[in-house]
Amino acid sequence: MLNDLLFRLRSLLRRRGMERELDDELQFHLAHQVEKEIQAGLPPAEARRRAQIALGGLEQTKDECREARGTAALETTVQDIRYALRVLGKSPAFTSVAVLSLALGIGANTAIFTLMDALMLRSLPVKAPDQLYRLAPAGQAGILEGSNFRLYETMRDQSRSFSGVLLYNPNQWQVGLGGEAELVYGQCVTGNYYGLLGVQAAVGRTLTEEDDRAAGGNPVAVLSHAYWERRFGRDPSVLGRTITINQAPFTVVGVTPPEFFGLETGRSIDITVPMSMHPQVGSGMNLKTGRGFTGVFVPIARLKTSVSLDHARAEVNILFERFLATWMPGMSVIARRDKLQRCELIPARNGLMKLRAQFSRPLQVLMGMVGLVLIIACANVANLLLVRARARQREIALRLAIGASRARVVRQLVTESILLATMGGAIGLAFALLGAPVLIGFLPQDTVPLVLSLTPDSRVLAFTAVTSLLTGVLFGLVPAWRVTQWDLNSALRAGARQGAAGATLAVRSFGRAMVVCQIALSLVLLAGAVMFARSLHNLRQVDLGFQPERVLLFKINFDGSPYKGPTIATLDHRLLEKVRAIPGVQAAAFSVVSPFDAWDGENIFVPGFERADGRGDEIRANWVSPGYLTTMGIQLIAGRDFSPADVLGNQQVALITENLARHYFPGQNPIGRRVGLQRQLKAGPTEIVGVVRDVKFEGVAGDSPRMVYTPAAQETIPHSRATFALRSDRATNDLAAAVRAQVQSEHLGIPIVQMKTMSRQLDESVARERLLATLSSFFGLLVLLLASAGIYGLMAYGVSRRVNEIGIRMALGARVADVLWLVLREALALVAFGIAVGLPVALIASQSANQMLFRLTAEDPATLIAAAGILAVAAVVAAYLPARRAAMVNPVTALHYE
Amino acid sequence: MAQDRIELPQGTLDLLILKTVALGPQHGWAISERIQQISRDVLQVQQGSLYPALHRLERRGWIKASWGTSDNNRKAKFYEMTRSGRKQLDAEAATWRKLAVAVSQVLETV
Repeated sequence: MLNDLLFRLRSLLRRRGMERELDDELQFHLAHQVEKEIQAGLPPAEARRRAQIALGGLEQTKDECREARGTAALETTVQDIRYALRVLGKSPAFTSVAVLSLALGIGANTAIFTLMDALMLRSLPVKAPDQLYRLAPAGQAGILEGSNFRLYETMRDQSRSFSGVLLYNPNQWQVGLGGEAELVYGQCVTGNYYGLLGVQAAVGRTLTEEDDRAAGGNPVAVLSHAYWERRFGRDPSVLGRTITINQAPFTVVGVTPPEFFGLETGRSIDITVPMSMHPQVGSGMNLKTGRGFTGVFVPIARLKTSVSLDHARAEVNILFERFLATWMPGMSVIARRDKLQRCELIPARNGLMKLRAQFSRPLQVLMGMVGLVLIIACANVANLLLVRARARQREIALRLAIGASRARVVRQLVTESILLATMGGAIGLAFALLGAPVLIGFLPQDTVPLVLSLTPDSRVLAFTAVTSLLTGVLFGLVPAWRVTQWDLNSALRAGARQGAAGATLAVRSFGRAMVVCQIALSLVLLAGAVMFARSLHNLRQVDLGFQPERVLLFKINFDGSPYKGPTIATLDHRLLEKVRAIPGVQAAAFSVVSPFDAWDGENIFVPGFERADGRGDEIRANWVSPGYLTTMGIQLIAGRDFSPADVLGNQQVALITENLARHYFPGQNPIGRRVGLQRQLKAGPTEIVGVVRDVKFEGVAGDSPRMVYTPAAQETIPHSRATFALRSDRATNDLAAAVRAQVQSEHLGIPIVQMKTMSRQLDESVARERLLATLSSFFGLLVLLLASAGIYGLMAYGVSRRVNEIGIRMALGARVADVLWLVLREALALVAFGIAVGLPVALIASQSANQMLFRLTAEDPATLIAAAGILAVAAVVAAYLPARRAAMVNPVTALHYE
Repeated sequence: MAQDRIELPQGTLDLLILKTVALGPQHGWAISERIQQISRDVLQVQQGSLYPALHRLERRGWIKASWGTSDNNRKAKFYEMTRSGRKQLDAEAATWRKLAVAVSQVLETV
């Protein structure tokens, strides 16, 4: 088989040599045969004739030999391609317009597919990733992010369905290599982690069961390839080096392969240590006794090949019940119903990712949209091809007449279109490579940037190749088929310009069909674009309850630092004074949480609202420094703001939101009322000193939560993390630099993280809507351009074919306006028809987006009216130029025009 | 005489070429002469079909070609057998014999 292919290739490459040899060989044969016949007594001329008859026609034999060598098929293709290149090269304008249209279509498809591939399709680079499942407790409130250590132990020790269960615990650590500490994503893993995943070390070794045996006894660390490269310049002597993680020393024992980033898509784990070292790097939580379900312990199981998923699920849930009975005896009914109803097995083949659930639907919608873009681009190119084929009609007719089969001519024409598509595909791939990072910019960024591999893998390349090929065949075949059907005789008889009337009609009716199809699909896409843009606009109109503009945020995280308890509070306040003193800063404050980033819960006890179970009502809370309301632009409705006197030891005070006041104190003045707050209960009741406006906290779309603000200075155990906010008119970069300088001048050895503007944080909270609105608008513009080009092309062609008729009309007294209307009327009729066809399709298609819309339904007529209006305007603009040209026709010239 | 000649059955030309080339490197004309000599002029080999067959066998890798000088000092293309060609010849010859035996048996019994 291989031999065969090589032989054919060789024959093809040395085609000229082969031809000569074939000729020599047959001539040699003939010479011998002639000699033989002469010896038999024939005259030389007769001998030559007989020899040639015996061989059966020199050219025919040669052809059969070429066929036998297997080069014929390839040769024709090479011929076709050469010819196609020559033909395309002769009309650069047509070629560039067609290639560009296709490049835009294919590029858009490839870009979206690249993102889809990176987020949803790539498998983890581990052994048999299909067998990996995350064990996740779930209830009516959805699937829990994490698990707990005892659940992991239960599954590990008692399940028979899995060949192993591992546990990992990702976290952010302060990592020091001597000098300023850096915030790094790290994880603690059980000893079987690398073994079960089948990941081998690139340098040194990975972690083993041995490393995970003695509590606190194995301070060893494995680095990611990226971190090794970034921090150690791929120095192999890194083995044995000491790094400090949250102040504890660890020895580097190995580096993982470059493609392995851990089990979470988009988040690169840079340092891995054994679970036995959790107390040394953790936040002080005892993982063996911790009964809570925190988001940070993730158990991953590998299903045995002999066990079905259903069987494993059944077993896991029996064990889950056993675990609940043993370790969670006092669990409330609500907790059971909402969070711990069952244990799910979630496929971990593609890696775990929070963003995936949020973005998979929008990406599918976008994928559908770019599919439409491509079809519309194809329709354009098909139109161009047909008009061109019309111009080449004589050439084609001639080829058919001298005996080329119809299939052969169609093949030649399709080769041209595939060539166009291939060029479009190559340029489209380049577009996609440029565009994909822009797409990533739409996704919300965590503390450490999102790491998504966007280099096109084989799947993306295959996608582009197949798309290009299919488009080539799709838009090439129909025109090729049509053009070879036209009447040969009339084509040959007619002059180059005039051609067969039938062909002109065919071109125009095909062109009309294409344009109607383009309009219909454009309407679908534009309706989507308008719909998502309106939805985003609605989101932007929401009153947030605070002023997000001109606010810069940054975080200070004391986790893993040597600073504890009251020192942290002191440092936070000192840093606040520092940044407040920066010139141009109008107000500054810090708080535990900030809107659209994270929230904090609290339980409130209000006299008259006691519950049967003795627990308080769950509300939202924030510990804030003085100046918080001014900095965030939150309006104080009644009472007073916090003062510097509200510190530990003085009366505990709180500000409440309007909705909380309305709920607990309807029609009364809440100022001066006392309530109990869970975390301050020991120090007695808290006095309400003011009421502030409601703010959106967890998302723009939801309701504002009932909230209470308390002074950070009254916290008994200060939070280790604080978000600082600065209100200033200074340019963001400039201000950020000043903040860094001020914080570094304190020499705390603590890095600043997540410095960004409040507007950016707001944007990230509506990332999905922004992605949809921005991209669909972009694609909307693209199809508008393509559809306009389609209408323009059709109308211009029509006018050029009707110069004669228009001339006659004008000679008979038609005015300019009549001629304009003649052309515009046709364009408008096509648009109307296209819209009529597209409308029901748009209505059905938009249903798929219903759940992604804010204060808008997919059926909203305004959306469709707007989309149709935009299309109509674009069509009139596109048709106006040819219409004007028609109106400028000089009747005298026109009548001579042949 | 002409009536005694029989047309070559489909697929047997390859076998005959292989058998001929097995005797030693030959050029195309010699192969065609040889086949007719050996078959005592009973088999009619279309010269026109000989060359495509040679090229086909070369593509399959059963014979290989090289340029040399013929008896009368002219440049000629010689074909010789390859190892896989010899295997193919053995296999095809065996099949052919079996077929021949089977067919003649059928003819005799009926």
